[in-house]
Amino acid sequence: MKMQIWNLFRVRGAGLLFLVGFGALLLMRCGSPKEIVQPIAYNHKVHLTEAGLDCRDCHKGVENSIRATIPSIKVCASCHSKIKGKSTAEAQVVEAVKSGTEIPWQRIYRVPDHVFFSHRRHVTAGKIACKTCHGDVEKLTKPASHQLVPIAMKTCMKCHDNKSISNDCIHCHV
Amino acid sequence: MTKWGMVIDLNKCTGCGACVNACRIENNIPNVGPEAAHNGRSMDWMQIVTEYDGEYPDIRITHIPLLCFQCDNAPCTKVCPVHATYQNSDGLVGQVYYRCIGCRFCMAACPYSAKKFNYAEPDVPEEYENHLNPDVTRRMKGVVEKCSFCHHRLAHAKDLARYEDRDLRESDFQPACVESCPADAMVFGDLENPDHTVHDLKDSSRVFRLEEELGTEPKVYYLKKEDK
Ligand code: HEC
Ligand code: HEC
Ligand code: HEC
Ligand code: HEC
Ligand code: HEC
Repeated sequence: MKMQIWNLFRVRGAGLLFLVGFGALLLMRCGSPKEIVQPIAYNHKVHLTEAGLDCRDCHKGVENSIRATIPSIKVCASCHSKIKGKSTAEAQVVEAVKSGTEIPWQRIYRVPDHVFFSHRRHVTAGKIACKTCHGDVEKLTKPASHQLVPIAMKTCMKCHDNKSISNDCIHCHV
Repeated sequence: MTKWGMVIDLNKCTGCGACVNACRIENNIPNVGPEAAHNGRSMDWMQIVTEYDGEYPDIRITHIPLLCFQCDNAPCTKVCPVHATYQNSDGLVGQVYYRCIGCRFCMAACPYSAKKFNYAEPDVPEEYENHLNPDVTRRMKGVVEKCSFCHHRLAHAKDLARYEDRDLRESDFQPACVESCPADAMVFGDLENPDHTVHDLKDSSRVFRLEEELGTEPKVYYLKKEDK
């Protein structure tokens, strides 16, 4: 009898172990991806409202090339040659402008190297708004720590299906 | 309908190997080293075989560049269990490396040995990292790869043509091998488009295709070598 209870416990233990393991796996898959921290607390909102800029003024390639590009320090220099506000972030930018060093921005959106994606094809030819793929960037008062709209093959294909664009594998996979 | 194809004039081919090297550089093809190459593990997507006819000094040599023939009736696509290799609407035989499970059925099915298997992780010396072509992904260990007619160039060409709001021109999309041939032995284009050189060239009296009797319908045509 004693033996039997032990056995029962052993089996339960294994089950529990399995559940814990499975749960941990699930958490690992669904848990938030690693947070991206930018070197400077850049503020999109202030530039789109107060400074009256447009996405294209900084992400210069977005309409006419494959990559949107992140602006170089030269773009910031035209407005941030001296400190106007009180934020430390701005002071950091002014310092970088003065010394002419590039800010090491971390990339947030990136397709794997086996995927071909062109901004001009989607923005200029396809007339798709930035928001569709990048979310409410206008409202960001601090840098995004993750992809607001995650890049996934499913998302690409769903829109292509809706707009009758080819979903031939090798149009995207090179 | 577009149907990309190639015509290779064996009268003009000197077997110089420029195409093989252009292909290597364009497509980030790893150098496996002499030992592995000797064991048949070379990764080259192109090859030149040389045929000897007669005995020295009465000898005739024919160089035949081989690549993936992008067959219209491709046996490789029929055996793939996971849709990693398939026939696309432009007549290209696609190979999606990340989908490939490395079963190598397609290699067995291909009568032209156009497909290569990655036996090892591609080994690129660190100082070459910046010399790799960023438009072509590097294949990993355990997948099958092959000549793609440089379809990454097609993606870029279509992208530019759409941006400039015009149709694709013949010169917009040319594979690296064709571009590099110093003898102009290789011609590439849309077999169905009368404006493209290959359209008429493929009906030349000298034309033949390899193992045509198998019914694979290759889209690489050869022009027979003739005595001048
Ligand atoms: C004053 C210049 C400026 C303007 C105007 C601007 N951005 Fe940015 N953007 C940046 C900088 C700098 C970064 C990098 C820091 C960050 O991620 O916040 C960035 C990052 C981004 C990123 C993340 C890119 C990545 O993958 O790392 C997206 C998406 C983006 N911007 C979209 C937009 C959109 C959409 C607009 C217009 C509504 C816009 N931006 C306007 C400067 C600007
Ligand atoms: C057209 C002018 C203009 C350009 C170009 C510009 N900014 Fe600004 N920036 C402003 C204005 C206006 C403010 C708000 C007032 C202030 O704090 O000085 C500001 C504020 C900031 C702040 C402080 C944000 C906060 O939360 O208070 C940072 C950081 C900043 N900018 C970074 C950048 C960077 C990085 C670039 C280059 C990619 C850049 N700016 C380009 C006009 C500009
Ligand atoms: C159809 C979806 C889509 C649309 C529309 C779109 N993007 Fe992107 N964006 C992407 C993808 C996918 C990437 C990752 C690209 C890569 O890795 O090459 C990206 C990357 C970026 C980046 C990172 C830097 C770079 O050069 O890749 C910036 C900045 C950016 N987008 C800004 C914009 C702006 C501004 C707009 C609107 C004018 C816009 N995007 C419209 C999908 C989109
Ligand atoms: C919101 C809709 C939308 C999303 C999301 C989207 N696309 Fe597209 N895509 C389009 C449209 C529209 C076109 C055709 C544009 C044109 O030429 O008019 C297109 C065209 C393309 C083409 C060219 C196809 C061809 O036949 O040559 C490629 C490649 C492509 N998209 C890749 C991607 C990838 C990769 C993603 C995901 C990272 C993506 N797209 C996400 C709408 C979308
Ligand atoms: C509209 C563009 C598009 C098309 C069409 C497309 N893919 Fe993808 N695919 C992507 C993007 C973007 C990713 C990377 C993001 C992700 O993993 O979801 C991806 C990822 C993948 C992956 C996962 C790779 C990895 O890193 O694990 C596989 C496998 C794949 N695709 C196979 C296919 C096959 C097979 C087809 C044809 C039936 C196809 N794809 C068609 C855009 C596309």
